[in-house]
Amino acid sequence: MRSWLLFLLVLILPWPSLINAAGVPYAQAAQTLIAETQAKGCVRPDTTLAEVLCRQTLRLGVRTNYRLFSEAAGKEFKGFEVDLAKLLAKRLGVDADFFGVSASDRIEKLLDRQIDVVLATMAHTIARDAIIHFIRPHYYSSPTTVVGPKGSIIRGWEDLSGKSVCVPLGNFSNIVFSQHRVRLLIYDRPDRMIDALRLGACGMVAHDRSLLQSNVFGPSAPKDLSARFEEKLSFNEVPWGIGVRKEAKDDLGAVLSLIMADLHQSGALQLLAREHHLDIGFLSTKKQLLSQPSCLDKDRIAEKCLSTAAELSDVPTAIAPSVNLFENWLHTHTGLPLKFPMLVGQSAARLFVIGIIASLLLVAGSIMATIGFAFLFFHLLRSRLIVIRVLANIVVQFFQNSPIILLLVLGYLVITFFTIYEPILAVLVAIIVIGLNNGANGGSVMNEASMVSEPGSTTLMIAKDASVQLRAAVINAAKASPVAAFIGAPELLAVLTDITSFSGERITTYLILSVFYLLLVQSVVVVSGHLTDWLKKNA
Amino acid sequence: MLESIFNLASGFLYAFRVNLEVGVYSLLGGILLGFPLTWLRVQGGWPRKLTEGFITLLRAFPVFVLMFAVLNILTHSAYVTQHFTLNIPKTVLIIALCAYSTSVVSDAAEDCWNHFSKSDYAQAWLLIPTLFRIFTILVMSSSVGAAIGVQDAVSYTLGRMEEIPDALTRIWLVLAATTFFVVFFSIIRFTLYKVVQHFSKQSH
Repeated sequence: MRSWLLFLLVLILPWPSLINAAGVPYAQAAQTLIAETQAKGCVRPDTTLAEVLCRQTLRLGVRTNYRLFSEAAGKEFKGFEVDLAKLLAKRLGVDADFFGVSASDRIEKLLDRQIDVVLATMAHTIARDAIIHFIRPHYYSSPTTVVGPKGSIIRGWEDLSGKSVCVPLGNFSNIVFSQHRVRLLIYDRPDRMIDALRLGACGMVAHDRSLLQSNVFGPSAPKDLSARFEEKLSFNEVPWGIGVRKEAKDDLGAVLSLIMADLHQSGALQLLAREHHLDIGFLSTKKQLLSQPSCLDKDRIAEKCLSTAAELSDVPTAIAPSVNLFENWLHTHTGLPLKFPMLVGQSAARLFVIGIIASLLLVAGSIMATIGFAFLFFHLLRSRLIVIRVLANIVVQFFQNSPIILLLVLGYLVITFFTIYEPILAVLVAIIVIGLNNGANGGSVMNEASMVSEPGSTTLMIAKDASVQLRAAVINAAKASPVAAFIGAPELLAVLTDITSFSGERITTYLILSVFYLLLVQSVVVVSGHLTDWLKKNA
Repeated sequence: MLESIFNLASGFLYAFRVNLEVGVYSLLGGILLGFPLTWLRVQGGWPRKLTEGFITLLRAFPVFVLMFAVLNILTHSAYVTQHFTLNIPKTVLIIALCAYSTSVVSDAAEDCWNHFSKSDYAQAWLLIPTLFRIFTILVMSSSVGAAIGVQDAVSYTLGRMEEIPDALTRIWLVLAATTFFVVFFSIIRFTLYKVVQHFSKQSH
């Protein structure tokens, strides 16, 4: 008897949680809205929901290469998002028609009315909220995760500073990496980035946790990768949402929102996620929250039960409206789709200014260090003491014949052995290393010139005799300065790579970078030419 | 201990093969582009002006910047990624180094042409050691490829370095790799010096 009572209790208990405050379940509220729209008939469908119902097809934009979420195999699509889309279409009583979309064209296709709904691993951000309507509750949530080799020591951001991480192009989370002075390598497709990780071209990668879990380190990931790599760090949890056009907010949007709440509450979404080996942490929390009776207010879901959009955009600069106008003018009159992200967002603009200052500092410093070390090495090579001459020869040979990258890393290691690494220190290390590398060449040619010069020649006269090679060393120092980016110096190449990584704009950034360095090096060529002429006349 | 040092050394030498390979391809690229450019230069008139402008541009372009610019163009181009199965980082590095090698090969070839026209054959043949010198510079410069994921000796060293927790051991490892390069290039420089001396004596 007692067991029967317990059984009845188990059957009865879940009901209050499945029913809203007014006593109407989410699914029922959705069906009411659908029935109301159907009742209006199909003579002149005036809403997106009416169009979908009359067409008997829901057109969905889904990804084609996002493992476990949505993959295209010929004309067929499979994955968590695809199954969720089928569930939504079934609840609407229509067929699901799938269209492949990418991260860059999904919103465009929705606005062009090629599709009714975007269900394509799209993060719900405030910036996107201004363009389209997001269905809440969200269907998934994922932070950005850094994955690295097992055994490597990455406990926090301080361990990532100065290291290379491969990141996806256009992900705003990348700004966090640049703030922590992580060196970025940009990949435009996740599959290429994972291939690079497999082949060793990337030591560490960062992407949505869901993608990396299914492709690199999770139980369903390929064994060759999961055996070598593990999750190191996660940040910036962002909710993923289904997108509809703004005009469809109160019809198709409202119905999908109620269906989503029902799928969360009934546990159908959890089940679907489990089937696709996805993490269900977010879905469990949502299920619990949406089971509260107070979550449905009339035929809408209460705001307190919904997550908000993530703030992932850069704060606009004062000149941003003018820059946008110029970009539009350029596009209209020349057809060039050029963007200037380094002038539009405050973080990007700050990085850009720092980059220009650091680059100018590096070039000027490297040239001065080259000349300084050239004279120093020359005097050491000409020393009266044989011990100093021999030692100077060894040092000159060492710096002349070392790859600049290894010298920079050596400088970085020596400095970090004594003190905490800072960007300004990186600039200083780079100036010294570039100076030593090119100064060794300069000192060596001055020494050779002194052997054939007249006895009693002054240092300046010898410098005049070796002026062509000295000039070459100075020009090489200017050309070598961007290499400083390798050890985390915030010069223009490094900061523009960072800006590209979160803005997605590549044409303008690399055009500016190329023109900047071409002009800088050419200026050094011209000025050093004049100086050489002056030296020849006056020395 | 000995076994791990042996493994490290053999892995390093195997990766150094990539530096040599990049050096060879970059030099070949430089010769293929540099020699026709030299021909245009010796024609005089506007072909010379045009070619010299182009070579000035190549000379002023820092390899490191060009490498990142090419990397972005190449990975952005759907045609390239769909129609060619390339090792993108290595290809990018070779293209970037070709810009340098083209300008210096063209300069050296023009010098050779001038000596040849004056029948100073010994000086003209200095082109051969000059090309070899360019090759060594290209091999040394190929180390910048580590920044875009080229699996060369520098990249190998940095990869092993990441696995070492002790800072001092890391310094020793990088120092050892640098010393290898120093010894390798010192021997080559010395050999080249002797060859050039030999040619110069013949010329006089």
